[in-house]
Amino acid sequence: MSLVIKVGLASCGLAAGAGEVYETILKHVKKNGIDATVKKTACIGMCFVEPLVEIYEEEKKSITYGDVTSENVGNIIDAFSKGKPIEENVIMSNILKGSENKTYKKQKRIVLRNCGIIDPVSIDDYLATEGYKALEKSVKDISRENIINEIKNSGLRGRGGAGFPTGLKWEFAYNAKSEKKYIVCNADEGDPGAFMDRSVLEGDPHSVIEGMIIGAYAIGADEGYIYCRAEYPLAIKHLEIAIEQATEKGYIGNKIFGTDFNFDLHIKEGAGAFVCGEETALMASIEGKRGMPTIRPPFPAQSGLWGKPTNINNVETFANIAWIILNGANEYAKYGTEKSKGTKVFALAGKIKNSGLIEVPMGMPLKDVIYDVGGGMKTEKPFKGVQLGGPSGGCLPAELLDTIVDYDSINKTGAIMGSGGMVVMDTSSCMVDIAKFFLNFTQNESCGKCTFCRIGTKRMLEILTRITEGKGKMEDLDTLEELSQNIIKGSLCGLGQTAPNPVLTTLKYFREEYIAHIKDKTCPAGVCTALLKYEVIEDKCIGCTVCAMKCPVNCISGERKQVHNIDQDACIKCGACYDACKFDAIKKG
Amino acid sequence: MITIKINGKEVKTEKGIKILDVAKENGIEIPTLCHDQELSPYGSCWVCAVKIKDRKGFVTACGTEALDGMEIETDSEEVHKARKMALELLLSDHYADCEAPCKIACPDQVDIQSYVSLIANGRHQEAVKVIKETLPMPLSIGRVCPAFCEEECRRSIVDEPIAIRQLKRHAADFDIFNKSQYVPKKAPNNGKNIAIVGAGPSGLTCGYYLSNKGYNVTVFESAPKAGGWLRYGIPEYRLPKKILDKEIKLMCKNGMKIKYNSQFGKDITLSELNEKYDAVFLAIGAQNAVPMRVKGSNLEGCFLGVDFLRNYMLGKKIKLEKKVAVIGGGNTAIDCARTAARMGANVTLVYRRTRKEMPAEAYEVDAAEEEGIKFHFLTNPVENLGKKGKLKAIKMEKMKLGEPDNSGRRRPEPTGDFFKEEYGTVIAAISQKPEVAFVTKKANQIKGKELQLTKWDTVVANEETQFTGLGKIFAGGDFRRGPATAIEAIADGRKAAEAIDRFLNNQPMIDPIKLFDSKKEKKLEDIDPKEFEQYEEIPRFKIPELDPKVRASNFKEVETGFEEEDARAEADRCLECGCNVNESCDLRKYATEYKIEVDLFMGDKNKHPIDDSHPFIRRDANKCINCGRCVRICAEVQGPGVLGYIYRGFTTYVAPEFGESLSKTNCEICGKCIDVCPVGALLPKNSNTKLNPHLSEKITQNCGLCGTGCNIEISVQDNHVTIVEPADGETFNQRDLCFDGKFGWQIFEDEDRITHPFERENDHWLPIKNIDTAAKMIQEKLQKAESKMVYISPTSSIEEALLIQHIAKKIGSQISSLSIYKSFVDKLTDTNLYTKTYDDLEHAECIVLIGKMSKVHKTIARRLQRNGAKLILITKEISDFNNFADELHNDDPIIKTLEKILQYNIELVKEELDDIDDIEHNVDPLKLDLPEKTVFMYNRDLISEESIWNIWVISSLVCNFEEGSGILPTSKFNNFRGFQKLGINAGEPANYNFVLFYGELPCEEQKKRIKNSNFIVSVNTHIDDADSSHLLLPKASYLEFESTSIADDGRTSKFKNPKKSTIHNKLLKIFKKAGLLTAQEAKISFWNKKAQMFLAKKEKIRNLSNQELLDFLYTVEHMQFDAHKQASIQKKRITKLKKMAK
Repeated sequence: MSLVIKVGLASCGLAAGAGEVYETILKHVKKNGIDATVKKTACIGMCFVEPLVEIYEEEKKSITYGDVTSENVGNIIDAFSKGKPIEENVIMSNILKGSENKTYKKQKRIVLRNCGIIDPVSIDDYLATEGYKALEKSVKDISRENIINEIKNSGLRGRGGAGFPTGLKWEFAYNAKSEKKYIVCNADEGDPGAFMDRSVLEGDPHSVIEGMIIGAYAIGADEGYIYCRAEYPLAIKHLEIAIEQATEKGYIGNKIFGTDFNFDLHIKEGAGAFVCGEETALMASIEGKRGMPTIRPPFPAQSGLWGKPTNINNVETFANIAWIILNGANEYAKYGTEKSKGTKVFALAGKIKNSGLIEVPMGMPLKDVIYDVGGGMKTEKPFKGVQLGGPSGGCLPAELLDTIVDYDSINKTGAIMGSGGMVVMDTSSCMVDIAKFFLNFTQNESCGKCTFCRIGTKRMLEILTRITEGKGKMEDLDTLEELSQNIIKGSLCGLGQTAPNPVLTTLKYFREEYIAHIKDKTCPAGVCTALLKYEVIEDKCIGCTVCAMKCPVNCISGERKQVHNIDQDACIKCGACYDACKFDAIKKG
Repeated sequence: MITIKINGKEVKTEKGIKILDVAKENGIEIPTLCHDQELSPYGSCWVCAVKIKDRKGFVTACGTEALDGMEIETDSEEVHKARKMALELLLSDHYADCEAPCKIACPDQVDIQSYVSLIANGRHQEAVKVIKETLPMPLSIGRVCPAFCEEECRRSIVDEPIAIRQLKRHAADFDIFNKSQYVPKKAPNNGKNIAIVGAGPSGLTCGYYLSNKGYNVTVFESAPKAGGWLRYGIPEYRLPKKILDKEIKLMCKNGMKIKYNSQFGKDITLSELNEKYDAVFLAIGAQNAVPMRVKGSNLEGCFLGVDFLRNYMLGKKIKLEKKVAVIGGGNTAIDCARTAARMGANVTLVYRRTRKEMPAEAYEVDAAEEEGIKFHFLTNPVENLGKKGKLKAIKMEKMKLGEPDNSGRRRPEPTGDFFKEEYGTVIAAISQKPEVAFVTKKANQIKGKELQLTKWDTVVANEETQFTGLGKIFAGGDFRRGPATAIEAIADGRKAAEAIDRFLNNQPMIDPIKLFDSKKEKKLEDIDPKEFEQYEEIPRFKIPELDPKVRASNFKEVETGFEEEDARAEADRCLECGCNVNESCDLRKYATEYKIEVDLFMGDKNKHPIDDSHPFIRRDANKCINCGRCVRICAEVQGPGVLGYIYRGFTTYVAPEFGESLSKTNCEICGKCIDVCPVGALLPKNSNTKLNPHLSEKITQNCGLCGTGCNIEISVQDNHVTIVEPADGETFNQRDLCFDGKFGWQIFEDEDRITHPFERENDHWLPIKNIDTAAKMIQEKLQKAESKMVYISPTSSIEEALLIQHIAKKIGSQISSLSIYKSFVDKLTDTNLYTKTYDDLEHAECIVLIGKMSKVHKTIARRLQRNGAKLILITKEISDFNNFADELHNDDPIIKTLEKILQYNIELVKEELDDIDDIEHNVDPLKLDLPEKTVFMYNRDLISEESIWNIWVISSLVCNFEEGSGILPTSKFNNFRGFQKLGINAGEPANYNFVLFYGELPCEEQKKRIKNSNFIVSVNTHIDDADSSHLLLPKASYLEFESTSIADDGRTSKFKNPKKSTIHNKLLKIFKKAGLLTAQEAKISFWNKKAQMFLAKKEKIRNLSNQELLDFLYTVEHMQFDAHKQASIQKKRITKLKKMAK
């Protein structure tokens, strides 16, 4: 009997040691003469249990193991080949009872259809999953107008964050009159904590490329750019390989599928400036200029790269295209809500049990995403909030967990869908601090052009910093709101227009926490160092001296077996004593 | 046409226009900082934010096109608030001072930075003029002021503050001992009468300004002489009374009258004054001494400070005992002590706090100590002990310092420790207060109401206007403030004068516009010393003083004044904190308009060292508002693109790459970045002069440094050019100037610039003091000379050329020019083929620049290109500008490229004309399709005659010579066209007995050919090592006398003598004395008239007939083509002409 062993070798897997596991498997198989094909694949989404190894004889009877190491992988293979698979570390399986994976079950994987399943650097793997069939069908059998109509009918909206209807965008570019047009894939994924685009590019680059070529055909472009941040070396490598393969097969180049359609595709590595995710800044960057947004109109569809009509879509958007063409707009539109069709990929992070990449149908309540797909909270501490949409998004409280995944529903809360970052927080997070964190990010990443964004966010950050240091005033909250409104209204690009969102949503949903910092000079979550105070609880202290020994600044005094005392002036609030005390005799507050 | 609504009003406008412009068309001013007419919309400052109905957020008015049906709100509360916030945010990171901190610290807001810079430049009288705008008594104040300004001087962070007070005195002394003194122009008499009571600094100041403004001013003074405290309080050794007399006399030049010995309340009453005069200013001072409240104050030997000083000054006899105690720590106490010491007494000064808390100036205390005064600090007199009614001793208590009081000084507290010391005299100089007994008297009431007083007996009056609220009575100085300084009294007097003038002109007493002031920090101590690390330490120049031993026994002035060189060097230490463009700054204008409250957003500021490394451009990134105008104009219009943004977020700033110095970049120093900067982040520098923020006189004329004749605006201070900028308004050069025009003129102010004659002695030039000597030399040499020659350069104006032509005629010489050469095309000047005007260029569809061209031509061509014209460059020059070319031909030499283009055009002709035979050629044709509306531009002095021939033939094949079609040759000489018209031709150098070079400087090769000439006179602007003449006479430049030239395109260039120079008059005088001119001819106006007559004769443009053209072409000497080829070309041209004729 012949086994298939697949190892997840995306960045997340490699970081967890999957490379070593892969090598061990190769050696083990060879040494023991096991009849097995060892295959590489990319991220299946369950980053929290990497390295992941899937093993099967027939595809429908597989077991996926998590937390695989070089030490235990030999036993796993041996046991499986002996027909007595090990039942520890099983993540999912369709042969072992009770191993149905909840994380997986509630998902609907369209964008991630091949991720973690095929070998991303093998075009044959991709072709085996009907790869490039959609392109063939498009260029041979469907008119440009009909492709655009199909995308319009599918209800697909831009997955970069703003949710602009993709079909409509294509139509604008299609209608623009010019001999030269460009299509651009935005792979500048800049939100801290987001890795959807990277995973797709690493795990299934051809799906993105195929989507782009179809798009180029539809709008009449003959040249494309993938703008990918240089921090994604594996994604770039896989893209390069995929472009080479697609060119070899004739999907890129002249006379594609024997038609008059020509297409050329380049990769442009971005230096990782957050603002370059903004369309006009991204184009400036491709042109070799400083990544700074420009006034719109003219929109890229009228005058984009080098003044030519240009269509820009995000990685995830393009990854949907081939599926829609093959399965039809109606099939796609079956998923989701009235105005948000299809599925959405999220990168789950923070205090959630199953951190990783998931894809759920639109319309799923956030509660289900977090508690069912995400497995709930990581620790015993209760849920406090969820940050959606990264630095441009907002923080939602527990009361809003019934909100469904849908552009308009999320926008109503003050947050945004964004590109799919979802950070779950428990009560150990200070919301003022969180707002400060995101604002600090946007402030540093502002291109420096618009007054409100460049200086306004800085002043907001200064106010937030003052508040976290206990120097805030109640009027500061009004100033924050006034500044926010003008930054939103008076910025050229999305960075500025959304930068105040984390502040505004936390002010809206967690206002009492701001007030606690300002009026009571306390940080309820115990995060803001300047407001913290560590004190010895006299009744509990037995004088073990451990805290005094751990204190890095020697500010704890006390005789052995006597109650100890912390010198508040010298204390740097590092919390070492608090962590070290075995008798809970240190009070943090 | 589209219809839109602005602020509810329906308006119609063209399609494609931006909101900013529609608003302007309709009289609505929308502020903007980042937008510039020459640049495409950018939208970074957001000061132009407007709201469009149904659109989320704001849009930028500069970058948003008005669309049909749009409803725009340009001034709603929401918009106004947003703009205000944008300005507040910009200013919260604008680390700059609009006004210098010294000026702000001065109670009288004297423009210190400006006058100090003028002193540094040696322009003392101009400095006095600046001082007297707010402070009319610099002679006195320069001697007695406590100099609040110096306390805030930033230079003290580097080393020591600038000696501002002493510099002021230096300038004022210069003025008073000069042959003429500065007196402001008096306005015509307005018939209104002003009464001033008290001829102290406050009253005199008020009277001075009002008399300058045309009021009849009468000052009533109770004392026999004027000056008030300056005369009767300040001792002679600090302010010699002769100096004070001179100052007051000068102040009265514009009609202020002083009535001495008029007792207020007795001879004159308030109600009377209020009735008889249009306004009254009370400046009666605080003359009453506050007595000591100690026992025994009535004893003989007890004096009060003010009385003591006054009586001494009045020459009354005062009997001092040997041992004198002076009580108090203020300037009056010190003055008493030093006066008593000079009277021979042994003086001890008793003060209840320590030296540190003394209100007297430290330098005064030091001087007193040097003169032998002793001090008892932390000591308080408690009783004067006497015998037989005479003071014998003083009982004193030792004190200690406690907590600070309201004044911020530590309060003295008694210790209970007493001691006794023998003194025969005690002078108590604690404080003074006004004499106010008159107030309650009926004669001084107005309609039953009397002046309001405070509990300190000072008058109640508005701080800004000095208005008392009673009748027409204003009051200021010590009478309002209590005992204070002279400079504060002067400030009150000036403010009163301003308020009175406004009041009598039915204006609000307070100027409603208060300019916004950006400040780096509020106080000197808040400034981060780091930013001053770049300055080298240069200690303050100490003003010379009389030796303490010498001065202690007499009343001679202690400070003897700066030496001229030291004063200028001291003034040069000024760091120039105030902004030189504070009057024209857009940011300040809007901040004022929007009533900015800057404190709201105060936080971190980006701080950068000021980059002074470039010789002509100062870059102060602290002032930059990141509008990017400089970045864009340099990259998009000028070409080099040397500026860019660095970093991200709040720290983003504009600088050359890697923050390098501008001098290490490709910067072409066109200065355009300076012109577009809406603030003072980029400023011009003057290599000869320290610039300042004071308003300059602006004069508009043409530039005279090349044939283009750009329109320029010249800033002049004290007959010196400080800055040259492109002239405002719709001129052909718009805001463009080349390096020469913008900065190059500075050579006319440099060290080698000559203003009087020089004579050569071996290898040296010796100045000739007397112009008669120079004239005599010329006369003598001319008499002996048999052969004479005159050469003149086309840098000379029409006036100069006519003059020199006249002189040549008179001495029987030929006249020619070495700088020009004869060209075949010169014949075509003023024909319909040649030359296009700059205005005409606007119609061109294609501009071809050939060879090296000036920056202005490139910028003009670039602007035309941005408006749709095609830009073709044929050049060997390597320049960033080349990147703009729609077509660039730089592979071959210019001549070769032109030949190839010509070949292509000939082949085109061949196809059109059937009767043409094959033309032989040895170059491959270069396909360059040129529209009929093509203008060719080249510099006739920089490309070869053959190239010009080729250009001419190409143009004759391509152009129809109607508007926007033809040739525009340029020249490096401002008056080349004038010379053509005058008929001055190219000449060859040769040996003569007498040679006059006017503006010419022969090159080495030419020099060899004249070296056997007996006598060479050279008229030039500079001493040049290459000059081989025997006599050198000064020549005026285009900035130095009224004259005219003809520019390349036939316009008349006008020069206006902004410097009010007399150099040319001097030259005419020499020529006259040499017998070459009559008295009438030795006047500039004579030649101006001649020039006008000459220019009036300007012929109309000649239309060349076909025959004339044929004749011309056949006679061209430079023909390098065979006749056959010529004929065919001509034929084509003629065919075209025929077509045109139809």
